[in-house]
Amino acid sequence: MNDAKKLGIKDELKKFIINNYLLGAKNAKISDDDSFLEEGIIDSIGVIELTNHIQRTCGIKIHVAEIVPQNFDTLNNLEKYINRKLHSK
Amino acid sequence: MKLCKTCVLPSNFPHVVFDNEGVCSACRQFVGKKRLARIKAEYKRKFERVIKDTRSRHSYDLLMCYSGGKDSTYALSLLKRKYGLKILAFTFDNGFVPDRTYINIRNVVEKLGVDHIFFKPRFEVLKKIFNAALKRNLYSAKTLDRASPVCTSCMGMVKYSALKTAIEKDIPLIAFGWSPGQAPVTSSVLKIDPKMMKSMQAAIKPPLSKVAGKEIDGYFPPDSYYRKSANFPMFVHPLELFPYNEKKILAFIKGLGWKMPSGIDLNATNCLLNSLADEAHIAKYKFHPYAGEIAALVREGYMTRREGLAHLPVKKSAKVLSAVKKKLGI
Ligand SMILES: [Zn+2]
Repeated sequence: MNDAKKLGIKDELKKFIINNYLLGAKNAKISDDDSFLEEGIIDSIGVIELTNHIQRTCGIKIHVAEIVPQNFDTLNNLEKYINRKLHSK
Repeated sequence: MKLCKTCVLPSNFPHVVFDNEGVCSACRQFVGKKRLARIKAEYKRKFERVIKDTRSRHSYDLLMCYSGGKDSTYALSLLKRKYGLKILAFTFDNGFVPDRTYINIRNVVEKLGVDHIFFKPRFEVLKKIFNAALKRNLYSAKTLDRASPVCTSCMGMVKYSALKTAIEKDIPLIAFGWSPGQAPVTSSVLKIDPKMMKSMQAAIKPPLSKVAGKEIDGYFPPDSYYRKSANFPMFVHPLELFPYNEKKILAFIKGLGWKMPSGIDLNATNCLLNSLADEAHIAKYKFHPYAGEIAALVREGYMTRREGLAHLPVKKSAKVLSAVKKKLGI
């Protein structure tokens, strides 16, 4: 899981989201509890790209039924969700 | 600015770096044609399972977002003839549909035997949106990789007005005619949680509201539509699960009475606004809004590099361009 291991899940995801979705925005930053759905940072294709990225870097299989705002809306929620998946593997 | 030696991505394309051999990072990270073919086969099986499970349970099996362009025409014929689905074709008229496209749509739906509806939003609303989108990016930076802000505006309204229609008519599937390269294959059969779908609306609706106010509310499902999770429509874009060859598609749809409209380019065979949107995108962001999509077609082997390069100059008709500008009040 390379970067995800080195940086920790949350920081790696933060890097991915900033690099891919906030590029060009001035002072691009995102807090751990910012809703990237409500703020319009990530659209439907973005969610799929993010899902693919997490599956690749964290080595987990994400079921479509799990792609819900409770799991995917903030960095904190994503981290909790991924940790749950990693521990249940 | 240089172009990737393998695909056609320019070196200034966002999120992409070039190595010493002049190959872009998208090509280096590409999973390979064999692996991609396996993923596509897996999604084709998923798609056929979904078709089997939903067929004949509703008055329509599927709502097809039908622009009248070459790809959605081909997708429509595939869904009708290969799968025998009961289809409602849905065309969002953005005010820049070429005259010939109306004839094409009529010919194709009559020949295939599918029901069809047009949805034409008031032009004064669209005019505000297109003018704003020609001047600045209204959406997240990432959307620029995929399309010009003008196209993203239109696509957003198409997607959500189609969703609204599908919910109202109790249609279980919504299909798009996206060619390979336009969206990840893993999104080709997609069941999205209604709450998630509602949240994702935030990427498109608030930016449009900022420009056009409450006028656009009618193009989006009201909140109550997202509360019911039973029978919430699924999204499919099946074209990339099948062999895709542009020349063969053009030859095939000719048999359905489809003719290339004049004054348009091959990247969008259904929209007169496209050349102006491309020009504005290139002037501002210095790369072609179709570069990512065309590069993917080349990388994945659907097009030769030479064919890809032929798609990238903006082919414009001065007559069309001036008519479009006049209509937008530019
Ligand atoms: Zn490349």
